[in-house]
Amino acid sequence: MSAAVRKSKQGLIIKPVKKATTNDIAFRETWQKLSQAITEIYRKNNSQLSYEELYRSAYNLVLQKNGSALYNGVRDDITTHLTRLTGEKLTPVFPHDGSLAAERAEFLRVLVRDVWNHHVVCMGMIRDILMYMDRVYVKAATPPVPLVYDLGMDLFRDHVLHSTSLTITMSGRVVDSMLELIRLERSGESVDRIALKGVADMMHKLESGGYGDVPNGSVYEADFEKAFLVRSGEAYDVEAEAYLAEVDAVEYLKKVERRLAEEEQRTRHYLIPITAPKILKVVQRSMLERHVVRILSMPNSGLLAQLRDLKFDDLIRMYDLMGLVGNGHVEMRKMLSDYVKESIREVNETYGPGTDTATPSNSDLTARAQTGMQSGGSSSSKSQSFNAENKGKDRDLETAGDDEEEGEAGQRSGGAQGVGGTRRTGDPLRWVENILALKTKFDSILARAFSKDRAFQTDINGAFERGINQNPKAPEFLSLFLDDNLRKGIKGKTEAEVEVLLDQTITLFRFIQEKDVFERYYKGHLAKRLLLGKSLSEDAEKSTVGKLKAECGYQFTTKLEGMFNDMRISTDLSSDFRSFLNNLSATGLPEFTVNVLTSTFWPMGTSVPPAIQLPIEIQSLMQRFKEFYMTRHSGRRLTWLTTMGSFDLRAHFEKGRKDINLSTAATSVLVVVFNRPDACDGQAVPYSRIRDETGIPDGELRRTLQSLSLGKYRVLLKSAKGREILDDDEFRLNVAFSSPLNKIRILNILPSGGAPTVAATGNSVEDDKERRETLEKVEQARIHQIEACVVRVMKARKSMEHNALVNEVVSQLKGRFLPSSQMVKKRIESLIEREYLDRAPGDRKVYNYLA
Amino acid sequence: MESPIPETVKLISSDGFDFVIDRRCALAAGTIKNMLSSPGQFTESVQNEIHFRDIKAVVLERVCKYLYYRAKYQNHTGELPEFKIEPELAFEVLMAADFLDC
Repeated sequence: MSAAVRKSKQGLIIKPVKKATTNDIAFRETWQKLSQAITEIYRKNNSQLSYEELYRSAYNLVLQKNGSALYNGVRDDITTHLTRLTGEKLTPVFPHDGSLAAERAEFLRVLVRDVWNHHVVCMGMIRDILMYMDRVYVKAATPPVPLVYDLGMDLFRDHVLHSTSLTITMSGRVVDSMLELIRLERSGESVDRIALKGVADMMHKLESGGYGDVPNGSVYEADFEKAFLVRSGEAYDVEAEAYLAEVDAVEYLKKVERRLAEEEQRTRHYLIPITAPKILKVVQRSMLERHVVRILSMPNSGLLAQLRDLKFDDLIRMYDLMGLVGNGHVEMRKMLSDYVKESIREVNETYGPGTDTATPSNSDLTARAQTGMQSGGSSSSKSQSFNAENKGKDRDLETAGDDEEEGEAGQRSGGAQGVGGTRRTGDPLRWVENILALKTKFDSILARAFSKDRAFQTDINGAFERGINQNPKAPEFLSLFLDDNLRKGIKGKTEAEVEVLLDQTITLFRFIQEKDVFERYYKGHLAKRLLLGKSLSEDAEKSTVGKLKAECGYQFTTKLEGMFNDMRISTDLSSDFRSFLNNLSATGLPEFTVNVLTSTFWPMGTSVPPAIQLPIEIQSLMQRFKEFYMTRHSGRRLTWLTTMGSFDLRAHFEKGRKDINLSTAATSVLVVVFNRPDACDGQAVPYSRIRDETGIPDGELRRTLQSLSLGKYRVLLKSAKGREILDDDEFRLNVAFSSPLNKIRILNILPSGGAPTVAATGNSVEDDKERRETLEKVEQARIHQIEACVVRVMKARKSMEHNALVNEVVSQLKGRFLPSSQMVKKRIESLIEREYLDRAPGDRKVYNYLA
Repeated sequence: MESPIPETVKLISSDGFDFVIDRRCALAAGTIKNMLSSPGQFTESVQNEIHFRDIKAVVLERVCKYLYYRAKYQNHTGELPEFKIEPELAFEVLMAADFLDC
């Protein structure tokens, strides 16, 4: 061969014409053979051809530098054959616009079976016999040309699919035939999937660009897929509109679900899998994304209805489908959150406090300390609460707030629930129960339908927080709910049930922003439970406190724990005192129980109650106790909170003996004023004398006399008729008093003079006045807390910029309440005035800490 | 096509010598492989013999030896024994190799 090359190099100049001629003749002969062979191949007569011969021919042509002529000749031949095939096979079955589905399917079948598949087989053979051309000529050709097989594919695309010999391009017809068949299948008819699959595969194998162009995917993508997506989108837009007008949200979403599954299957069965995500997106956009709000808000079947009726399966479907489109879950969450808020608002409206303020309150009631009892005649026994004030009170700002604590426990409206005015003061128990029920409901929806989606959870919780805090009395209600449960609700429940209940309540507690308000109420309620011995289970109490501690830290509960501690110590103290009295052989004394309370822990405060004249026996006992106590703890100050106590009297009437449970004031009236011979004979006593002898302030005295003379049990008789106690009224002991019961309880009357109510021992909603007081106290406490926090922060940082300081303080106090930056700013100013802080000389926005 | 694929194939040189060799060895040559297994059926695969009109027996013999040599050492690691080609045949064997793609 090298010899031949050399020859041609020489001959290039000397005898080019002759060389070309011989070469030309040889070429023509050989090419004739090959061209004939290609024709035979297309006629399926290949088995009569000798591969060796053809291969050798092509081999020789390439070796003789006729590669490009051979290549072009092959291209022209293939083109001719393809054009012929198209004319013979496809033109007869070429569908027109109105063709039936069967005709279209036949057309596609012919295209695939008789043209495409045949062409592919032929090209395989052509490639094989021209292998040497591929290997040698094509590799080195400039400009580059595709391998002969790829050339065959390109030719097919250009001369069959994109042939322009017909009125509409073949490809256009192919695509619209496919789309028509798919449309029919969507509407429920069965179509020739195999034909469709053949065409799709065919198109997928064809490069759309052709050589030289930037490859831009297959003909499938360029010709079919694009049109398929657009047309499907249009079809589904129409379908969505039609369905939406026709069916409800549940049915609609089922349909969407079915459509998505169908499309997914379609791509798997006879299209190309790369189309799956695209067509699904199209369906999602047409059927879901555009109609999200419309679907969700369908009356009686939309999200709200499904939530209301707890349609878990439907909700799951909705959650899944809406998750497919960008705005779906966002809209769902928005509606869900509104729905939660609305549900809570309903509860707030039904059971919460009304918005109007002029509320007649049914308050009254004195918290009773433990009740002792017994002694002959109309003598009395008494129990007493008093404060032992701790010495060395911490003057540090950080604890200063505690001094403000004053008890509202002593004054609490009785039995508001169910008795008139529910609408106004609200119904704490029902409120909490309903909120809890809502919480449970949404928790289960979240878990079962929304696969515990974090974003949904956050929204639900946010809605709960806002909703709950819209009830200004939420902290009080929650505390009352716990109070009720700890007093009676948990009776008969197992420990586990109680735990569950407490845990649920704590989750609500978590939503409350004004945790300090809750603490105040809880303390008050706890105080009453402890002092009245109304708590059912110490374990449950401890467990509640433990949970609160876990939520808010130990600061939150130190005082609560201190209260428990005081109670324990007081029990020991009382029994010690009893043995102390026994040692003195002081007998015949009334039973006497004292609770010694640390004033900083308890919500009663230190204000000294009015000095009510007490029965002499009690006074002496009180004196002895004080002496007894001082021998143990010298230097402590004891303040008697007599109004917190209660008395059990045994009274002998003409018609028998009665045990009467009374408030301190009533006892004072009965024992100090009426327990003497002349009164027992029925002598009338004027109001003014009662007042002078007992020392009870006017208002309370009137109420006390009302309860004694106008209530259910009339131990006293009033001279004049009428519900009001007037200054010139006179009272007589009702010596003929009778009652079917042996033990009776005389309760105080509402200060406002409403009907006497059951001044229950329970806690209930405060009236407006009390509430104002409470909130005022809370406000006071907050001032101290903010100041303490500012000082704490500044002590650590020494110098700080205003906004940073405010943010730090807010974030530290967030666990208890939400201070406004305005409040914090005021406190900072006050601290500057008092020279805890000052402004940095250069920058007025920066504060320095003054040691 | 006969249902059992024959185990051998007959190669015929331009001067009429037959070489019956193992089919699997023969398939190592790209051209032979195409001849016998192209999607279409050519006379060669129908008759299971290939007539090389440009290759003489001496050269074809070397080719067959080479195909066996290649089959034997295909998965061999380490030193390969030399495959001897007589210098006077070298050019023609090389041409045949190019033609046969092996």
